[in-house]
Amino acid sequence: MRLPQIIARRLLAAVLVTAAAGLSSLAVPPARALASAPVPVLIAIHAIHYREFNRLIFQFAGPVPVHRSAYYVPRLPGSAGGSARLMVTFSAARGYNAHGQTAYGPAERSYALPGVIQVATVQDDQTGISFGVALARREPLSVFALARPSRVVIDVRTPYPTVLVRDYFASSGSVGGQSVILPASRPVLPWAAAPGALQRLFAGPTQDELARGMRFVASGATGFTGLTIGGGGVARVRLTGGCSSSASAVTVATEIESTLRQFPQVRWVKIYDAAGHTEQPSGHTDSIPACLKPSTAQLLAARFKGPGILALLIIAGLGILAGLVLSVLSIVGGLALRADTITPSAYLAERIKAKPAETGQFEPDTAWPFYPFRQARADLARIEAERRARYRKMWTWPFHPIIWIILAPVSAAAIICILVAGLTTVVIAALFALVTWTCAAIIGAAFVVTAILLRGADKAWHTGMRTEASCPHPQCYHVTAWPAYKCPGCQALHRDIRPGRLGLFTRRCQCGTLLPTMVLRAAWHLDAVCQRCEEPLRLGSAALRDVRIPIFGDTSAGKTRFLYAALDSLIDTTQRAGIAFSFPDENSRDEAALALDVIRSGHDTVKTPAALPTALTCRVGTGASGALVHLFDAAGESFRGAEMHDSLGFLDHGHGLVYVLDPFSVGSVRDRMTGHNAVAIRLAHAAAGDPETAYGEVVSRLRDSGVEAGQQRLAVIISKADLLTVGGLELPEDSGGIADWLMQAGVHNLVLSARRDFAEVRYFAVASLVAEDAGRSYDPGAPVRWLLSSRGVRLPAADPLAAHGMRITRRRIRPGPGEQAGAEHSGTEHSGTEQSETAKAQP
Amino acid sequence: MRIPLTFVIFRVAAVCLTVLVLALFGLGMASRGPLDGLGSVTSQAISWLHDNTGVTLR
Repeated sequence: MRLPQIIARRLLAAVLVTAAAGLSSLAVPPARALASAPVPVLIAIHAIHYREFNRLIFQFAGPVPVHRSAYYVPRLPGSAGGSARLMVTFSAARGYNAHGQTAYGPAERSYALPGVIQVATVQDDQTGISFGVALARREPLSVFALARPSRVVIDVRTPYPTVLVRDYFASSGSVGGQSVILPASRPVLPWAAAPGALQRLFAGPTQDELARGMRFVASGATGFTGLTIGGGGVARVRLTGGCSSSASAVTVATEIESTLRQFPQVRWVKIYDAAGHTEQPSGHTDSIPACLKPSTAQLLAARFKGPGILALLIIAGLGILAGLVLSVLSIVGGLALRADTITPSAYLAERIKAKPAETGQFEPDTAWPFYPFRQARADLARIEAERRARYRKMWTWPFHPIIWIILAPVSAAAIICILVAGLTTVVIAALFALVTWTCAAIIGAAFVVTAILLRGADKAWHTGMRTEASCPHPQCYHVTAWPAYKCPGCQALHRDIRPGRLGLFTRRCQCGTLLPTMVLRAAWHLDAVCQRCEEPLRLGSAALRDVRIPIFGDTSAGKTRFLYAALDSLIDTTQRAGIAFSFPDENSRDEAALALDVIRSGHDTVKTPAALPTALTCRVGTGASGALVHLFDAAGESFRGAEMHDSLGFLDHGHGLVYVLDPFSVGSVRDRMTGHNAVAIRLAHAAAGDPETAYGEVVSRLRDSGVEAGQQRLAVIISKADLLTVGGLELPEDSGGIADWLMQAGVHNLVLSARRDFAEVRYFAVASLVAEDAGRSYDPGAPVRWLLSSRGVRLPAADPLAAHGMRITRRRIRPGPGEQAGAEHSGTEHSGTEQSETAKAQP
Repeated sequence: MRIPLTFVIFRVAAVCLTVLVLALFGLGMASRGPLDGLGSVTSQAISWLHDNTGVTLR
């Protein structure tokens, strides 16, 4: 092959390859080609009347839609009415712009044309656009496209005559009553003028008419049906869809009546709702359904003109302003300037009047009440009184009624203004009351719940710790759950300090002093006094465990000596155990000092005065877990006479009783020792009375007072055990043994009675002093510790010798003439006379 | 006689709460604040007034 031929062939091949490549690059997939093709966008709709037809023009941006159709349908969605309905569809077209906004204008538009009544959007999405076209009559049509600009044109023939009628629409620019509707001309078929007029009415105003402020008030109706005009000039028409006046004076009934009444043959219009109801279905009168009836307010508003309404609004605004000012003045006056403050004394008087104190009850305390419980009501009442007084003044100004008459127009405006002001003050006062009561209710509920909890805490402490307020003073000995407290500021008594209507955590006394409310706190900050005798109580009263131990027995039985020795033993025991021991008041401290001096120095005990005793109170332990121990010691004579007996109230409230029995008052004991140790008998100075008498008197009193002795413990103290030892009589160590010893000694009635009368009886041999050669300890603290343990106060046992006996000054007792030598004694309980006798016996 | 401080606190609180409620209500009528839903009531009232009397308040 020659070179030119080869070159030619290669060039041809290159051209073919290049051409193939170019063709392949031009071969775009169909979908990609569709996506890149411009989508027609509908931008305008026009309708124009020509001589023989109406032309409906849909104008597009971009190409003309390829797929378009127009065909008659029996019905259309939406409100498009008319006698014929045309569906126009454009596929692969849209009616909104890039921002999603409609590009062709309103979705519904009406036309005052012979053929085209209304065009309404049926569908507008990515698949295409559809319109429903309401026509006056079904006629042939033609559809074609025009370019530059892209348009789809639908020509609908109108080969029929028309007459002009008036449709009456509401006018947003007009004011009140009948004048709010305006006429608009519409061409309708002459032989169906009335239905045609109503069809055009429900189609609504044209775009130009809308721009002029006309609008169609549908009142919920979507159309009409069954229009008839009777021979008597009565037109009847039934609404379809809903029916509501919608708080408007102008309804669809107004428009229908005006539209139909233009026809000469119509004199009255009866409009029915969709259910076929109207107010007056018969008779020569207009009638509308109840759902279209305007309210009184609507009728009143419709009667006023625009300026009048504006004037009313201004007057009402002034009234509201005046009402606001009046409310502010009333609130300021009621709360600050002329507040009706419920003082503590006034509140006390109210409560006493509402609920008088019965016998045995105290009057309520005098303190400021908690605001929501009383003062809130008083404040609201005061504000209301202020509001009424000020509002009344508004009506009386300017003083004389004649001025109101002279200034009649101004007076009318003033009356409206004052009425609105009054209404405003009522609303604000009601709002203030609502706020106040709501706050009061919420805070009051929280207050009540908290008060219950705090009271519960107080009560639980009272029950769990067995706290009580014991009066230690003679002629009273009253015991209460909580004491009264004296205000540090004015010394006024607060008898019920617990959380309540006078305060939750604190209460304010009438003098202004702030007081703690709970007993647990008040006990350490306020001076507690007895609820009955108002004498001061011990510090910590009603906050600490309270134990009351009465000591009883015959004269010279050794009660006081036992009390002193027991106190000394308790001090020693608590000191060794590291338990705090103190005296909460000055009297107890002084008496204890005297007692310890007597016991530790070995001096004789002074005869107990016949007067009623004040409790010797000691505090065992520290803090809230401590206990107040009240020891009552009355003279033996007190338990004999019936008159004195009635005043021994401390016996009624004892938590455990101590009965001191002098063994030398028992005849058999004396008999056994006579001749053997006369010195001991003489030193013992035995109680003269029968030991069972004093016991019987006390038990009888307890029974008469309703005290359940069967719930209490009784410690029977055999005193002067040291003297028995000196006399050669050794008491058994255990309680049962002592009881048997007493039975053998002839005191069996007492032993049997005690066993029957009390819950638990224990016998103790006690010596206030210890003989040098005593082989055992007669610890006087043991009975007290046993009784304290029943109230939850547990103390360790005493050291047999170190606890008590070793501290006592010992004195040797020398026998007198004819008496057995070797008897030693270190002291007994003696009266003044007894002391002198003892002194004589000493060397 | 000096009144307790709690009385003053309660009174001031009640007044402040009332003012707050009024303010919230007023703002709500103007479609502002947490009660802005009341704005629709205002709109309805204005529309009603407009429909029945022709007075335009906006």
